[in-house]
Amino acid sequence: MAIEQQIKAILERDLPEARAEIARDADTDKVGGRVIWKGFAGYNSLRRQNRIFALLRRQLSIAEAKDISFIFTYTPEEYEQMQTA
Amino acid sequence: MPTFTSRNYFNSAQEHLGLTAQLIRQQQYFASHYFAGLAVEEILRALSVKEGDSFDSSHSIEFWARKANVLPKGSDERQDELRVTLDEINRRWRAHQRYFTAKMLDTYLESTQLDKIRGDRVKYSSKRLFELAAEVVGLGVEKWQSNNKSKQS
Repeated sequence: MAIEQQIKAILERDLPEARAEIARDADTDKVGGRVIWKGFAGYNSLRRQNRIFALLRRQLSIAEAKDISFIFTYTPEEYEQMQTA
Repeated sequence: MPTFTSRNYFNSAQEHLGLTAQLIRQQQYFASHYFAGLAVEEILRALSVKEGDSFDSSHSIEFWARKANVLPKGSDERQDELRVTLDEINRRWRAHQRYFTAKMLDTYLESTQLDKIRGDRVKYSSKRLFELAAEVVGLGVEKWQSNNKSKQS
């Protein structure tokens, strides 16, 4: 399974009802994207990023984890607002 | 339409970060909030655009961060710090905030629940965003200079 799909599967499995959109950037060749999860509500960015990278580093190899650039975090409400921006 | 090069964005990011500091000193918090985010967008653009690229009208921090390859080499901790910083900037700032009134920006910031404060949220967030922008622009400037030095040699 490609790493993009692995990341999506990990995040959507371990963050209940989350939606992850992960892709490889053609220019940088790095993998990144966004995860939208209602459980992020009330969390600051430090807690959000710690949560997702703890999950990913536990389940990916060191080399695979090093392939990740940024995964931005949103609650469903934040994501909806972002789309209207 | 003028052509915007990587060097343009490199220069404008630093100029707008300086302007942000000046606006904070003048207590122009709404404007400083906007220019801090703009400086971040610009340094990310500086690291992303290549000669001959056509202008991309996206103003999304998420979009440009992923294009910029800005993560520092080295430890996970250092990389994670930047991930946290850009995640927070992305939550605080949107380019369309330039059309907001100060009241609308205050309402938006309240909705983000980023700052557990009483009082002037725009003032607090503009100072916070300036700190975050200074970190990203500083890192981006180093990276840009290093990229350009290696291209020349």
